[in-house]
Amino acid sequence: MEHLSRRAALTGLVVGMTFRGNVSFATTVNQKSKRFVVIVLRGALDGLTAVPPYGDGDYASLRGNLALQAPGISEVSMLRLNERFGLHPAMVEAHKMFLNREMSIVHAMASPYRERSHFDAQNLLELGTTHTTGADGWLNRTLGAMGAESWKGLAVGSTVPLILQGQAPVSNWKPEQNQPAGNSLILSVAKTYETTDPALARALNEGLQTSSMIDTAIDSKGRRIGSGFATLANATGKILASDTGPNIAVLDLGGWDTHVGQGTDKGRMAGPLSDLSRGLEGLKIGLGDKWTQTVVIAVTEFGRTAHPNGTNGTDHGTATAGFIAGGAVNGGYVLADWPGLSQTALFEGRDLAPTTDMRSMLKAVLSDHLKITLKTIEDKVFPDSFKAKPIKGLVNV
Amino acid sequence: MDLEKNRIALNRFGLGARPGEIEKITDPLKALMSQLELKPDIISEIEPSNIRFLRFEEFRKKKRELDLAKVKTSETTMSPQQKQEATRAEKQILGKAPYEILIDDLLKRTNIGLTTDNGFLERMVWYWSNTLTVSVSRGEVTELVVPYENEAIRPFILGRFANLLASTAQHPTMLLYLDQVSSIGPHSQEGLRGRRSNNENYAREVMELHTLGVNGGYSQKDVIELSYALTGLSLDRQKGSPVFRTTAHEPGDRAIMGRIFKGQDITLISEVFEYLAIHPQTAKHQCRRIAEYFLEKPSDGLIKTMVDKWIKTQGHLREVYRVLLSSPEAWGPSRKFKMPEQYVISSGRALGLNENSSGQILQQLRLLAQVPFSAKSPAGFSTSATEWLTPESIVERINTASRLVGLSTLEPSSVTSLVKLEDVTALEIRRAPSKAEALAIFLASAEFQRS
Repeated sequence: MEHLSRRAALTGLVVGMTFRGNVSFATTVNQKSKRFVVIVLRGALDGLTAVPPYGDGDYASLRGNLALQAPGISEVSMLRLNERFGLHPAMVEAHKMFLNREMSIVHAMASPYRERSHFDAQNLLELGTTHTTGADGWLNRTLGAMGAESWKGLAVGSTVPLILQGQAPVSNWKPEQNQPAGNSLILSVAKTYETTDPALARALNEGLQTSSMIDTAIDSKGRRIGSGFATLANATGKILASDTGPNIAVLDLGGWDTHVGQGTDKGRMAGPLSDLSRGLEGLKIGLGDKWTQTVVIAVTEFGRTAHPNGTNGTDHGTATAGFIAGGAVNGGYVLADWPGLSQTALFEGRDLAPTTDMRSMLKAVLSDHLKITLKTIEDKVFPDSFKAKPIKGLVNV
Repeated sequence: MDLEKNRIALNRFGLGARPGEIEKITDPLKALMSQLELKPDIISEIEPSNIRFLRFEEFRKKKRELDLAKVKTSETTMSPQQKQEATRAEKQILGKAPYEILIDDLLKRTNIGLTTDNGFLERMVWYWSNTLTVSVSRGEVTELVVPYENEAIRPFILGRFANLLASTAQHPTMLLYLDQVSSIGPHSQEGLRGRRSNNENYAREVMELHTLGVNGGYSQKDVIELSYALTGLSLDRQKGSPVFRTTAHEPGDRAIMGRIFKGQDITLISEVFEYLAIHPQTAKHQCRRIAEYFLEKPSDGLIKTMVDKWIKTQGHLREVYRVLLSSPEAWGPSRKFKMPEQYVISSGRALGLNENSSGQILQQLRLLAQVPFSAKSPAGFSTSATEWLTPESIVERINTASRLVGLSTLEPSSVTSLVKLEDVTALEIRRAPSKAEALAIFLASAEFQRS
């Protein structure tokens, strides 16, 4: 997406918009104080539930009982972003950021990957190429392009994920203590026990009744209370807030693979969406003063099918939504070259069609926020990405 | 190549296959038998138990002095900063606390578990450490438990059971753990002088747990007689080494299980132990336990062949293991539920973890309530599924899997062949939303949790 299309203009974007307020000269901005956080949403986030296009006439009928209520009707309504798009009601904090012009969304976006394997798609997302195998991730190459001696990267978690693997040295911070297993894992294991081991199946079933694992501490809006991810994000923010702290960090958030019981305002997606929302807020609070110099993106490997499946969920799809937040972001927009949701508009008759290459979003951050030249980006960080033009106006220059 | 037999060799009779190990085996039975020609790993860089004992005595003494001094200076007048300083100074004087030394020891032991090529030998070390067990539930042996295994168990698991038994009986840790040090013959010199008496604890456990078994045909009188026989066997607290004190030994012949044992020194103890070690009841008790350690439902027939060998060779352990390993039943269907220690270590091995992850491995053992040498009773940890297959523990094992996979960078495809998976499990793994979750499903699977 090279320029703001007519469709995009209809969604409230002002053509030719530049940045808000301050004109800052490159020399007076301390590059070293820039921060860039990537949240990898593993499992395929359903963009049509996270950011429902309620203004599209086909939305409600296409989505059936997975359709969320349009804004302003009741307390289970989606939250209004503009006259076309809403935000899932669990994302209260993110909504505030959007209204405060600290968050934007890119929709109908996908990486170049067109198959449907989680592992391969995540690899491609992290590699930043058009292949599903490779040795180093694009975020590591970004560090290299910035000058690895002075720009530092941080992997939050027990290992360094592929996106940050490569020649530039990175550090690793693993949160201590003992997180419990996520719902998705437990359900998968339970499913295998049903066939393979009645004794274990019985024991697990009983254990889940008494343990506080599934649907732990959900409030009236179906949001999980005391999310571990928010705490983690907050702690990450604090690490980044230091003047000598890392410039780039990557976190993981899962729980998106909603083949079953996806739900609308409540259901299996509500918890993870609340986690993401609170995570963004946690980052902001942790970063403190550095928030104005920060861009956070949250991206997933692909979207999900437009029609519900037979188990009240969705299967693997293609295009989806991505989030970009931060004090350095030109917030308050849903950027989408919207393809529509009629049967003919769907990709392969089943998925939201991709109209924006994810790398256009990533390249915009690298060029406008991190000030890497487009030539360097296309030579070193995202090879073979010439066709994906950086989205203009996403980030304050 | 029979992949399934290779898997059995590594998973059932070892600590669990590491990626790439299964394909390397050409003869699974030989891979196990050849270990019996080797020496079990000894944990290097662990001080001998006598040094540790003396260190602990010194630690105790210094701590007492510091505590007395603390009582004199009023603690409430200290600021938080002063308190911190005081704690730091105290630590300078005392050196490492016993539990810190224990953790260091256990980390080293965990490293062996994660990396050894001789899985069967290490399983036998675990088995005998658990059978002739000592535990930190008795605080004063905290620094002594791993040296005990190093010195009294590891070197003896392939020889005669009588030698293994005797080595544990004469080890300071065992002498302290089961109160042998305070057992004095009531009619011995020391007994008569100080009006002290014997302690039955060790004698009872020798008969009930270490040799004959609870239905092994001994009486309460036999226990008393054995405890009399053992009096004098004690610890020299100046040296931290075992000693036999005639002045504490109960005089007279001993009548144990219908036999008379004579002698007034350590040879008496050797004779009694020899008798117990080759006793058919001991053979039956231990062979059943060994078979059940590895197999879900070993047949009476298999156990009998092991018992016969025990009796024939007078308790030569290597020969007994050979009988077990070469039986067809050892390689047949069996789905024994892994104890936590086996589950956690085999998970670490499957994930290709090394000593960098020992801390996290040990942490998971703590959460699953099987830190080595922490059993609540001298019976050690149960090896039966009824003890470990509980609702809480199944949930916790999934948590463990989830935590450990974060430490690994392996591809799911390199680990999922370590165990034969059923279609439904393989499908869930393939469909998993992330690689980490795929690995966790594998570890939590019933196929992996049983061996």
